[in-house]
Amino acid sequence: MDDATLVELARSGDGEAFGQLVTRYRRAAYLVALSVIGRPEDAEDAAQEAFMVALERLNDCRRPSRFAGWLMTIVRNRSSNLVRREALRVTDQIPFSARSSIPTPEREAQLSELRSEIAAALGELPEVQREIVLLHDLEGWKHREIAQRLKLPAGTVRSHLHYARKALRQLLKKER
Amino acid sequence: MNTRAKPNRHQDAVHGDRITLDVLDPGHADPDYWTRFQARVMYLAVPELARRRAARQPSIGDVLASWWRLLIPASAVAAVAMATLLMPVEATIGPDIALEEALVSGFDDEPLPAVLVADQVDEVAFLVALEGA
Repeated sequence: MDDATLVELARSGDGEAFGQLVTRYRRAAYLVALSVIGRPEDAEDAAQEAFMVALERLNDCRRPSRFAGWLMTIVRNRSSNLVRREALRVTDQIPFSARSSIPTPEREAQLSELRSEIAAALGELPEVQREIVLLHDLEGWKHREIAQRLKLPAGTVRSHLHYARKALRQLLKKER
Repeated sequence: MNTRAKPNRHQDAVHGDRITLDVLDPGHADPDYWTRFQARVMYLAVPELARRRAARQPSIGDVLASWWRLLIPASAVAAVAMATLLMPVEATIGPDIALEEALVSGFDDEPLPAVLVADQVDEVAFLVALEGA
């Protein structure tokens, strides 16, 4: 079922249709939130809140076939608001890589460290490049879809992706 | 110890042109993460979904409007049905009507009374009447 149909059904209160939209875009929503906020726990909250806001404002989605782009705009706005609120609340900036540490076996410890390194490297990128590299390399969105979402030419998206990857490689090598 | 682990991690992350970012996906380390995420969103969505379903329930006005919308076509169908029933009745009237009635039917003008009364035939009056007509 396409997005437009699911949006129409969700507008009339169809929980299953809304659930399918959540399943389809939960990872993308989380990653966009993560690219703005930088903290996994807050990214989760922002993504969940964004789904709630999207449901409440579903009638304002003028082009249901472009639900994904509309949703990501909400995610970005909610995330930016959260960052602003946090900036007012705490004086110490929590680094992008901050994450609760749970005792883990050796492999999990390695992965946890890798996660921190990648997150730190991502934190060095401009926000737009962070979002592009996450949506493309992790979520599997196409250049065209990201371009639509960010209202950028597809060529610019490719260029951002190229520079983001190059910067990440250099940053990760530096970690060695 | 750390120096051995880091090259491995770097290999984990960089594959040619691509950077493997899977570790940033919370579902990578916790397979149930997205199930919980989904359940949480759906739980929070319950009141709004219920409100939307309730808004779709028809009001009294909607019900009356739907009746009214039904009433007009139903009346039209009934009218056509009645006309169809009455038409053959009109056709069967033909043989039973009187000759006088048959002659005058369909004419708007006054019939010629002198012509129609057999025992009062008056040729002069007839011609005068014809001329007058």
